Amino acid sequence: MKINHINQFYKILRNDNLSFIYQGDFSDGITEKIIALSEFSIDSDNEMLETRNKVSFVIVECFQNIVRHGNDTQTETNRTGTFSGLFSIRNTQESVYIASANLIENEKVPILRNKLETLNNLDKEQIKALYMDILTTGKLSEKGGAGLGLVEMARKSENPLEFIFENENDKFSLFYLMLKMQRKADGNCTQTEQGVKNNISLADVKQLQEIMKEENILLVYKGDFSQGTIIPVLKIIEDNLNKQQEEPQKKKKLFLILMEILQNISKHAAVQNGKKEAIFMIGKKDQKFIICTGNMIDSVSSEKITEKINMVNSLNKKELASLYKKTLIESISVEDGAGLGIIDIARESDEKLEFNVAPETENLSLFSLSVQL
Amino acid sequence: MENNLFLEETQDTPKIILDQTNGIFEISGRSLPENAVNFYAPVLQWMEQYLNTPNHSTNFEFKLDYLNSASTKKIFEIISVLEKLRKKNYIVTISWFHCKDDELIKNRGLEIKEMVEIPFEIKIY
Repeated sequence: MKINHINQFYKILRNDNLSFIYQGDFSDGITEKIIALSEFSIDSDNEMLETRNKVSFVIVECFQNIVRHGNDTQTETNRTGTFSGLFSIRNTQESVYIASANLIENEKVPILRNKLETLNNLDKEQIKALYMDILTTGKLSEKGGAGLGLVEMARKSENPLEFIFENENDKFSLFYLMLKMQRKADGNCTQTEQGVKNNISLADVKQLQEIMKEENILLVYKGDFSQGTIIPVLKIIEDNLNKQQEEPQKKKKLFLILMEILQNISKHAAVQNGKKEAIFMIGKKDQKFIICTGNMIDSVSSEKITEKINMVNSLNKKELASLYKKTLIESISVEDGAGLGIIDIARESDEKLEFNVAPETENLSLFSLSVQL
Repeated sequence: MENNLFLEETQDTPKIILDQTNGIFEISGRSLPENAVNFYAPVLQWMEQYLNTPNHSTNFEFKLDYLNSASTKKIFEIISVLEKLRKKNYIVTISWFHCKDDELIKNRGLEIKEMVEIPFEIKIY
């Protein structure tokens, strides 16, 4: 992952109110945190409770699919060192899109494809009837796992389920699935021009996932950066880190640096449409973690931050330590603005801080920062 | 003055016990609030009041797990109040706990220790 991926992803995700794309190891543990995150983002949009519950439900189903099938294919994926799952939630003004991907055995593909195609040809009433039928007769699909869950997802979505099967090797295929849920209560199908432009297809999500896989990007989050959203994002990362064979100190360091960076954004990002919108990505490169962030800043802040980063970059670790102490002492008399955070980040980072300022409008620029640990 | 202050731990703020009655002064857990100024305002206010009618001796314990830079500033401010207390010839000691192998918290403690004139013990818990 490189710093310019921030600009690339920011452009692609421009019309999203919230984007969360995660590819990597999955466990049930992170499900609830993603639900917390999506609930928060929907709450902050003053959405209705009904949509919120539907979204939570679909997230749980998607995860259970990934985890269940992930377990089946675990030994294989570990051996080949490939991919274990993808989860993506993207909210636009009009809709919520939830997508997942997991490996399935090739022999299951025709059955699953058939089920999905059948479901997509049914209308609302027919889907409901099928649902009741499965419930009462208890006739669940053998091993395919795609029984009641898929039917329920189709019911909740009220849109055709989008899917792609992609052959990986002679044993496995990647199964991509995406659900779309209209955010408006009436499910009004006539879309505005902007709405059509904002439409997201599964192919779009797949394309992002391929870049992420190629560049070893674990997570992309774009949205509002307030403490309410930062905490669930951090918890997801912490949970993921706990499963990795990293030394505890490195994990802790990573967590703290993340916290500093995200809080910095929350404090300093320019407010647009009442939100402090920013993008955040985390990836790996040669055993090192790379954290990249991007947020809008005005020209005054941009000059200040450029100056500050150039200054900390010019110091060695010892000089940074004494600047840290000096700043700490001064912070008692000077309220805020002391910039302890950026010194902290520079002290803990393995490399010099990398940054970039790309003008977006007359007064605003996309400021991106990359830290290696 | 109200001589005790208790705050329960949350997902981003630490547990706080300022119990003058029983002589227990402790901050423990995660301190990661975005707005550390607001969170620590009542604590600092309590400390300033404590300066007026302190116990004969005060041992302040820090058992932190995570600490963001905004909280570091506030912790340092609390320790600076304790330094004032010591200058008034009261007995003041600080115990800075860290988990075994937690170099981050340990180093932060060592750094602060160098910056203040208070008996300052760094311990493993």
